[in-house]
Amino acid sequence: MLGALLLACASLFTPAEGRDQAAIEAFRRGDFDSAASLWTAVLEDSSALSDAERGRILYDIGNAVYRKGNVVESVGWYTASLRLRPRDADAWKNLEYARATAKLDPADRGDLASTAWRVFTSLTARESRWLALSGVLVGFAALAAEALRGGRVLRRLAWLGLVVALAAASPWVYHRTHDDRDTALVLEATDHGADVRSEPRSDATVVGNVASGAEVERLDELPGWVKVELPGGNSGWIESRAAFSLKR
Amino acid sequence: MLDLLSRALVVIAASVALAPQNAPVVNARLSTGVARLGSDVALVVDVEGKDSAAIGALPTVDGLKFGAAGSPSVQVYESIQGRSRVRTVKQSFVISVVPQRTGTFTIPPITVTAGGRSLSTPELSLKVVDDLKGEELGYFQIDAPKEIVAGQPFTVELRFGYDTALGEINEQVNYINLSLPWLDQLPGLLELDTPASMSGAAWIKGVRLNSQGQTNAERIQPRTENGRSFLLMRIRKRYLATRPGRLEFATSHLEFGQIENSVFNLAPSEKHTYYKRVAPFAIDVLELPEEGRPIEFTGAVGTLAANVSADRRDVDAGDSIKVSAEWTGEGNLEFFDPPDLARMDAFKGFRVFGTNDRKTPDRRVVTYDLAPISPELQAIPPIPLVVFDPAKKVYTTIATDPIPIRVRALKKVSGLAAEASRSEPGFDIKDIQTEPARERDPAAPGDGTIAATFVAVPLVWLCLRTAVRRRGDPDAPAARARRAARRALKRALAAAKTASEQARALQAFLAARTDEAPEAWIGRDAVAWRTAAAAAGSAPRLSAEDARALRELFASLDERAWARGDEPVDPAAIERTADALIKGGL
Repeated sequence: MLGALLLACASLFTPAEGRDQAAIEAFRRGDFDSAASLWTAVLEDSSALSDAERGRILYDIGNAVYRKGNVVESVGWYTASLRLRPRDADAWKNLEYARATAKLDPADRGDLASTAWRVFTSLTARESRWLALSGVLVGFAALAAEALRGGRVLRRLAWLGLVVALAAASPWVYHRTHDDRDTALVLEATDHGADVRSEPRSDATVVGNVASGAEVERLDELPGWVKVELPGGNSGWIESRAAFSLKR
Repeated sequence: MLDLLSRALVVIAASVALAPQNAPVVNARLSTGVARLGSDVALVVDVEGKDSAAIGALPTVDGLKFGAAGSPSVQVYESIQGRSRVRTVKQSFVISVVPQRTGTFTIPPITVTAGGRSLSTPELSLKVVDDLKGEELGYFQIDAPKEIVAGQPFTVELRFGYDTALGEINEQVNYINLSLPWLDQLPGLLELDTPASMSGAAWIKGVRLNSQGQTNAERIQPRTENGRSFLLMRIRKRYLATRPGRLEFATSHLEFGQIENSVFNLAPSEKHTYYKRVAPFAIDVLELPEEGRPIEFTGAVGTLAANVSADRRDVDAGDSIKVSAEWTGEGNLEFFDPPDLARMDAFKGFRVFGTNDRKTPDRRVVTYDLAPISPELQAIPPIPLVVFDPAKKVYTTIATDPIPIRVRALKKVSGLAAEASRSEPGFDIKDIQTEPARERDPAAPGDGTIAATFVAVPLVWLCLRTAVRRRGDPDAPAARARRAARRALKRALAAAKTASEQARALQAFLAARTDEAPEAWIGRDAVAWRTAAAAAGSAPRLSAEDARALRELFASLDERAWARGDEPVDPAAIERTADALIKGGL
């Protein structure tokens, strides 16, 4: 107890890297609570962390939470980590394993549509910007060739360049429209998911429920309650503990 | 990312592979390959894989008269392939063929429509003769089993020869042909590798099959029959019946005799030909009995023996052992699914990482990559294979011998055995990542930049296009010809090593632009040419200034060619002049 207290106090005065090291050591000792707390503190105190580093820490927190036995919560951490590092194979593996253990549907079903979607969302926001710009330049090269030389072949090439440019821009458009949304993952360890209530009270009318593992948009927040928009367009209130914010 | 892409490819490939596979198959065969004039011959067209089929227009062959194709006879077969049961529908159309004169006829492919697809039969050959003489001089016998089961390999032995009174090979008999209309035409039959012959066997070369190609026949002991001694040889073929039914072998003929070759062997003619006939026969292919068929049966048929070996026997828990199971004997060694150890209770204490399957006609070797995960394991259990024994007509299980092994426990590892008993999924989460990502977020273009580029690109394109089109259509034939001439000049100048060659390149360019022969520009004064053209009333194609520049360039090239050792000028100067000419309207 005293050790944990000292560790917590020390963590307030050590730089982020030192706290990260302390968290790793705590994890190795099997003190998963301390490890998770230290990593969470690193996240909260270091706004200048790169996306890759934030993603790593979110992943490590997921592992600590999983080891603590909170399998459902670890799903949220891994999902948040993958938003920052979408191609991290370890995070994908742990996410799928945790989802399977929590009896949730897999995040990637492995079929053609799932695979295509995973490929589409496998770029970070920055990478998608570069891809969009490259696509525009490719399109411009094709259009310029058509403008200078004309002809059927170059006209078709110009169309192709245009299609390439639009296709290359689609991940950027996706990030533009999705990254600012404040989404949450519903994590409720019951079979029927989380109850959605008309008002932020536990005795308010249940207007529906949302399955565990589903992503919902956060509209508002009150102590203990989060107002969410359901996939059908309706909104309601669920308890905060069941809504894991993915914006970390 | 690569993993994702490869998975996407696998998904696409799988979706393609899962497309309907029951493509129809069409075959045709004659009831005999050699017929006597006036006799009837049946042409049988088999269509497999579709419930309905129609024969197209029958071909016209001079000398053959085809009857109408009646309603087909339909047979339905069911067979086991690996672990699945496959149903096959076969329709047989019989068309009568009446020869009207002697000769060798080629029956062209017949079109068959099945399942919306148009298919063709193979080309067939029919020999029609006046008389099938010499029956007593020949010997021809085909040995084959009368009854087999589906999946059972069998051998068809063709023994043939002729009276020794005709002498040795190439004395009075220099030509042997086996007319086997069933060869390669029987549906449901798979030809396997020829069985090995005895070492030291004598071979007779040049035996023809269906008048095509040449094969070797093994010479065997002569035989005496009906007071005649026959010189004998044999050809053996090994087959596998892939499904139940009846295999009908049409009338076969041995043709032998003497052929007279012309000087250049262009048109050999038959001097004497004798025929020996083998009556048609059939092999019944029985279905594998359902009764007593174990659920583990994977299609193995035959009389097989099993052996096993391991590359090591003393291992740490979790180490790989390569266990090779070998099956030999008379059976369909190449065509059954090997036992899947991962599904067997006896191998629960092992991890099966994969298999390596090697198939040859006489042996099947499957190497399993196993890892014992418990130090308590003392042997690799027997590997069982369920086989249908066609001789005894029962399913038997042949098992390899167990292999004793010693598995050492790993130090400081408590859980390999415990891990083995864990429920699915069979792996733990990946460990934490301890190496901080030190790189900063890479710079990326801003959203505004990208959006502006998206707007700017079409505008720039429109402006560029409009500006270019003001000077004419860049894709017009004249513009293309101008560019082609300019490119040709650039290539020729790059290859030119002397002033003379440069002059020729320039002449070729000017000729291409004035629609003249290159020789027209040899020694031509460009200024005088321009003046003459203007006097003749045609619009000048060169400005006075360009004409003067061209004259000076030619003068410079001539001077270097004749007075300065043919030293080349700077090609850029020629290209500049050419560009000026093009810009001036040439």
